[in-house]
Amino acid sequence: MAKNLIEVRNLKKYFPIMGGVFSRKVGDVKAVDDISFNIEEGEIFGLVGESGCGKSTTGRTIIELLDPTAGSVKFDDKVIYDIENNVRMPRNELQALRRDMQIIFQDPYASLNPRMNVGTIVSEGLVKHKIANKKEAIEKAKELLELCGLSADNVVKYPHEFSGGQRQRIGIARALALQPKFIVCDEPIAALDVSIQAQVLTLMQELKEKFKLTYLFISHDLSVIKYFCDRIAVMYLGSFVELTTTKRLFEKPLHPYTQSLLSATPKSDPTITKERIILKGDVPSPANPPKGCKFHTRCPQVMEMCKTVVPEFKEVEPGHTVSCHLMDLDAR
Amino acid sequence: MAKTVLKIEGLKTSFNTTAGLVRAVDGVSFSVDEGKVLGIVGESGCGKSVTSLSVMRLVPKPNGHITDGKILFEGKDLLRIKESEMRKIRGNHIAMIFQEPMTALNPVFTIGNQIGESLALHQGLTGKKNVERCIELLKTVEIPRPDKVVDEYPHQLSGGMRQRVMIAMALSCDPKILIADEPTTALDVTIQAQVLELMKELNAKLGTATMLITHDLGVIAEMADDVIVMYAGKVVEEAPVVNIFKTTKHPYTLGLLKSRPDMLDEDEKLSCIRGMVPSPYNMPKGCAFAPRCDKRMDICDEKMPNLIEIEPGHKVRCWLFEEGGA
Repeated sequence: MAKNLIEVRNLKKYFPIMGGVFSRKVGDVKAVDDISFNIEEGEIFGLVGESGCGKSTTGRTIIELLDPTAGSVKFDDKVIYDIENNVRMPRNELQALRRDMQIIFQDPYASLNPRMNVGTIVSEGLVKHKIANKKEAIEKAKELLELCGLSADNVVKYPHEFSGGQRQRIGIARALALQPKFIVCDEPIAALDVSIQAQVLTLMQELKEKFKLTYLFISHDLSVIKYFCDRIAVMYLGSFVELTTTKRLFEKPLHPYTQSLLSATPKSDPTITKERIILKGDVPSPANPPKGCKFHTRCPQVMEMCKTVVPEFKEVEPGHTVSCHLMDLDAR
Repeated sequence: MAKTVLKIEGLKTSFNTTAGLVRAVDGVSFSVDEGKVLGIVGESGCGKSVTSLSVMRLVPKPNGHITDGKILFEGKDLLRIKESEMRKIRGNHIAMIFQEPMTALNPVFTIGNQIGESLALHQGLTGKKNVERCIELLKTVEIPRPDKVVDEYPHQLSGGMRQRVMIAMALSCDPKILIADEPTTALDVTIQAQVLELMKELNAKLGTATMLITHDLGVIAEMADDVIVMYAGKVVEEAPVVNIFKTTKHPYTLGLLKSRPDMLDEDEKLSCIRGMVPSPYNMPKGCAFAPRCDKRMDICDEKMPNLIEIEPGHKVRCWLFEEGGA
């Protein structure tokens, strides 16, 4: 078995809600609420869920772009933080480690500085980490751009001169500049047109092979996740409801939420008529999640105990973890 | 055969911009039959939204102009009538659902106010009757506690609920044509499924002719009866929905289908269309898709192919299928 590159244990990230006359804390938005998982070296780990379920927060908290509320993260056997035991990696070590973890953002229009030219954007990390001087860094940036399907003379241009797909390529080139081991891809293709989506996905796949990268791939699009990822975690209101290999998840989804999510995705085939599970209502607010199982307000198979008892996230078969009371019923 | 409600012939819409004239819609023709759903697919900038705005005569002025063509609604050319007459049709006989339910509703009016406005204007319903009809409409689109929601403001509702309100508003005057411009793009999958299901039901119940504009081929496969594929302001393929997916002809449509991961067999690699949509200021001389096409021939760079019918109901604009090509 491959080595775990990332180990996440009981990660929590709460955002405080301020209110009242003196802006005191009146509650928490539980964006990420107690999740644990590993990502193996060379794996593409998919994170899927609806908007507001905490996918992006998870991605950002793991690489400590956001300050975690609780839990621990290990990267390459080095502890980045362990809040319970009050361990945090020293600042300078963390900065050095940042070379190994990069992120590609969702919105290619917002994630590139409009006042920097492309060469500077791509080479900034190289200069910052003192890997190369400015001149060498620009040469390296040219190489990276060509690798990502853009021509080298683009280094002097500015982001506004590019289309969405090209900008995303620049974002990818920037992420690759420091030869990272791990890249968080936060909905990298959601803002792009269908034909451009396929181009960017293909590029990311090639780069993964070439540089032996590990991806955490965040998306709300199940068909993209299915095509791209090795293992998938389905998130709902800050918690994992199901985690397993791609194959298993699509062949035999066990959690009712996964089942309805799969059935809700429109299939590009007009000849298939299928039974749809239509969920009632909307996702509850993460500031005030339902008691018991968080999904019980919309679950088509809700039972009495779901309303009070939080189901355990446990392995029902090797490599297939689900949090649902129905699993206990089946076992009995 | 079903009655044709809307017929568009050779529609051309262009915009004056500082960088020059942009032909957003360049000679588009199609028709929508009663009770049918016509899907219009294409990538951003291909002119699908401008087509729908042209039908409503809502092309932004003063830069946008409908330069040529006919829009025949029940035999009447909408481009030749007065604005006052158009106002009686708009929202009454032809209604529209917009993409962004967050921005399409006015934040300072209650839901009841906004739905009631068109009821008062077109059907003369006022006072209690107006409110009653609003509640009834909210019930049709399955909004919980409609009698309360009618007095609420848009910010109190979620995205899916707002889109339902938009649908209720569009249906308020029993329109003959419903134009839905990316109605589910801003919504989550589970909410999208709810809204699509609702639209399907309403379409079956009320028999409204629907123009569904989207970039999502999955939505098209589930909803549409007939499909138009647009590229760079022109129709490149037109066929019944099954033909579009099963006997695809145009290389662009084929490329679009191939770039969707959910159509792949196991272990099949994703293929993609090279390059990108040509700039509207600098359209290729021949076929607009030629620079990206895998099956490009010499003639493609020279002349734009015509939209020809190769099978009953299946039209393609490509030299591969036209005499004089190949």
